[in-house]
Amino acid sequence: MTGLTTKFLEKLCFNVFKESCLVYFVINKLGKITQWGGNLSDLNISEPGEDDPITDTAIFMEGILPLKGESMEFSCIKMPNNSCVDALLFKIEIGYGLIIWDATKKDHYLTETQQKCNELSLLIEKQKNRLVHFPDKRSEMENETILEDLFQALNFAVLEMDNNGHFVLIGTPPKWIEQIPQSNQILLGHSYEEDVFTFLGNFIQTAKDLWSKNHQGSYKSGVWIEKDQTDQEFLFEATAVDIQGRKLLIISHDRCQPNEKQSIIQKGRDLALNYHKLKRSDQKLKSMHDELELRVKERTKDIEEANRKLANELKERKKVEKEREEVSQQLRQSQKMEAIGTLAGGIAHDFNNILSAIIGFSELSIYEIKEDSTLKPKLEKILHASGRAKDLVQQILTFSRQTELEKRPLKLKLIVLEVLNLLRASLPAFIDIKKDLKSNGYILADQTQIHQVIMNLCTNAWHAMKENGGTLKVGLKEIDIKNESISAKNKLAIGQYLELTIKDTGCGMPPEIIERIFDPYFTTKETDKGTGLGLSVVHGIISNCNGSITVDSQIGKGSLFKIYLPSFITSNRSKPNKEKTISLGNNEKILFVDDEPFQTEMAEQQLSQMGYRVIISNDSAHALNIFLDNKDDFDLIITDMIMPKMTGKTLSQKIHKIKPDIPIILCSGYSDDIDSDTIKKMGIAQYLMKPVGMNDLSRAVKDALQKKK
Amino acid sequence: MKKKICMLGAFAVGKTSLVERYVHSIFSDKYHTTVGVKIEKMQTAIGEEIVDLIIWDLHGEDEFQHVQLSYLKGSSGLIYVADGTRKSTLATALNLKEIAEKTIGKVPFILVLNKMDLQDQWEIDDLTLKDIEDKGIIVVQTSAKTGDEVKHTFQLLTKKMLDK
Ligand SMILES: Nc1nc2c(ncn2[C@@H]2O[C@H](COP(=O)(O)OP(=O)(O)OP(=O)(O)O)[C@@H](O)[C@H]2O)c(=O)[nH]1
Ligand SMILES: [Mg+2]
Repeated sequence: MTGLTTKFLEKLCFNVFKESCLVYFVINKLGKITQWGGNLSDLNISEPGEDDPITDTAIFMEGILPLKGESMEFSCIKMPNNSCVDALLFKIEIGYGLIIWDATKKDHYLTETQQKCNELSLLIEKQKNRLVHFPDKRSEMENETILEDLFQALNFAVLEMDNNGHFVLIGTPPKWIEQIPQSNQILLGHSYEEDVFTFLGNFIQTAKDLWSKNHQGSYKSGVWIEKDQTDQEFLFEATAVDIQGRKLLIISHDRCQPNEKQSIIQKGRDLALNYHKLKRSDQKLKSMHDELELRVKERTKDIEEANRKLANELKERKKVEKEREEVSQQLRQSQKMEAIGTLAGGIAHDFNNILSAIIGFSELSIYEIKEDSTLKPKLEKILHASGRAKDLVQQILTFSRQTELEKRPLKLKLIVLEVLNLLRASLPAFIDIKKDLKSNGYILADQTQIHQVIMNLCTNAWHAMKENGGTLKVGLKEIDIKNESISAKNKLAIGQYLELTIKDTGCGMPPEIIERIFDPYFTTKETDKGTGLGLSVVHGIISNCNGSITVDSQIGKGSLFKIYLPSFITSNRSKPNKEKTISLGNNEKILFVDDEPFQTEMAEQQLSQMGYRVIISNDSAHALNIFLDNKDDFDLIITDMIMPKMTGKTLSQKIHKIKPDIPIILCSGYSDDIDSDTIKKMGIAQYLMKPVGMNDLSRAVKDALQKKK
Repeated sequence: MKKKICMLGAFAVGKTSLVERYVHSIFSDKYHTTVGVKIEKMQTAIGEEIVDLIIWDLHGEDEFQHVQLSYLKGSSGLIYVADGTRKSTLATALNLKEIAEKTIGKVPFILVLNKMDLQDQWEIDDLTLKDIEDKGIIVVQTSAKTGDEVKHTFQLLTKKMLDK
């Protein structure tokens, strides 16, 4: 190459380098500058002196030489003088060539992009940490700011569709938006987005369509180029996306070359993807949290349900306890009554013995005195009064259940009256009793039980009126149940009935109580024991008589109990013996045993009067001996039931062992421990309740002797 | 005497902030990421010896930008920077140390745990720290924000470089 050509080339290079803001240095192997060229001042590089080390001018060359490879590139080197350069260092024959050029432009967009990437990464890290450390402290608010930070970091303009389908800018608008024509409108929030972003017209329509079809994911407009006021070209791209139900239009903007854009977008998207993944795990956490909350709610509901059940159970239990308390009260009452009953029974026994003497001797006296004696009416008065006393004792015994349980024809009216008489004494004056007893009919039942039924119902009525007083109405009438429906309703057979009504004007009962009023509390309890009968027992007694009981009640108005009992209609009703005649004996020999001397004394006289021979004994063991000595002499044995040493029962059994066919009559003041069955089994001819009048005695003796024959 | 040092570490750990604090005694809360390299010059003295430090503030290491290893050429010392409030940056720093040693061999270095003013967000426990120190690595906790230990770190490294 000639010197001229070299000069030429040199000149050309100088100009090219000068115009293109390039600088070049030729450096020898010691790192000293031998030649340089280009526009040094544009790059803020001071003119070097000959043989200056390159590190003085290009500070980044410190430590770089000697170069190992063929060449080395420097990119975006910011120097203390604030210039930002790229450089290329390469080996040449004499040493090294170094070309430096301005990288400010590149630096500008690179920094912006890198900045975005790094800020995003930081955001992501922050978010990650937050999720790790405080997974439960997430809130919509924070997500909101994170989202906005994200948009801002990405330099996006984000518009959100409001309820009217109109788009409003959210978050901080990016700087570039100002460069767009009509940006004022969008910044003020009342624009038609198509006017500002002309390319959006069709795109928005499609996006809205997709959203209305619940389309997930995002939809992109594609890159669109527009010039700003200063004629600079911009790249725009819009993305329509539904984030947690929010319809967003994300508009990205770029200033760089389309090919650079590729990598930038790539990075941004990678990050967005990353963020999205994170977001998803965030969402998963949230849904897990929600599910947990739901479960907790369900559990709470379960617990509430259980509590409710428990409360109900408690209520029920309390109710049952109250019932039990009532029942035990009834039981106590009944035990009390039983004690009173026993006491009354005991007294009645003695009393009956005394009455026997009074009646017996009065009767004897009447027989002995002359027909026109002035003593006769007096004695008859004693006898009459004694008869009333006997009735009274009978009533006490009935009340205290000391009489035998046996179904027999009963005049219901009499029992009702008996109960009402007993009650009258104990009822307070403010309770009025009204009777309307129209029937004299009979029923077949156990007197004691019926007595108790009426007593119970009347007592209940009284209790219902305790507070405010009122009227107790008792009615009795005969009815003929022909009507099928009535009979079905009351579960009664068609026929004749006595209807007993007990009505009060008391507090009444609510339906739920009426429903259960006849429920049995004590199904196993012996129904013949206890005076404080529950209504269940009443029900049982009535049913047992083939009758029925119904109740009507109204709160505040009172209750009405109706009892239906079948009429007892028979021609040979067992009627009280009213025969005045005394059957006389035929000199038969009778052994009379009673521990009470006055009884034996009286019996001796009575039976003698009747025409019998009488041997008496006040000791049952002694009586047995008398019988043994003359067992074929006696025609009849009459013995008291309760005696010391040997009871009448035992005595009878022993006598029957020796002489099975001899008739025995058992007498008792009261007897709880012997029933008609036992009596029959024992072959006892007659059972007499003291006090025994002469009429009854004579007939019993006669009957017993006749049976023997 | 001129000495080249490089600041290495994950992004946003405070490499630039440390250099700015050391060279210009300024600090900004605003994060302005470094693209490429920023070179600063700082004169210091160890005893009689005047040293011109050429400080290369390299861009942060992450999955998008890798440290250009050729830039490490000619370094007399390295400062690995980690952010004490982000545990992962410590791993990045240690990883970079491995790579740098493979590229330019062993040169004096210091591991810096920056942002020590943010104790409430601190994520590196004493045990981890002890593990590192047990490997013979010098760890300094600094704050570019308050300036704590910043100058000391550069002085210490310079001294180590001269001692070598
Ligand atoms: N509180 C606090 N913040 C700091 C400290 N050092 C740096 N920062 C902040 O951390 C962020 C990142 O700091 P830079 O110095 O830019 O970090 P870098 O390592 O140079 O980051 P790259 O250049 O992107 O790799 C900035 O917002 C700083 O203000 C510090 O000691 N304390
Ligand atoms: Mg930096």
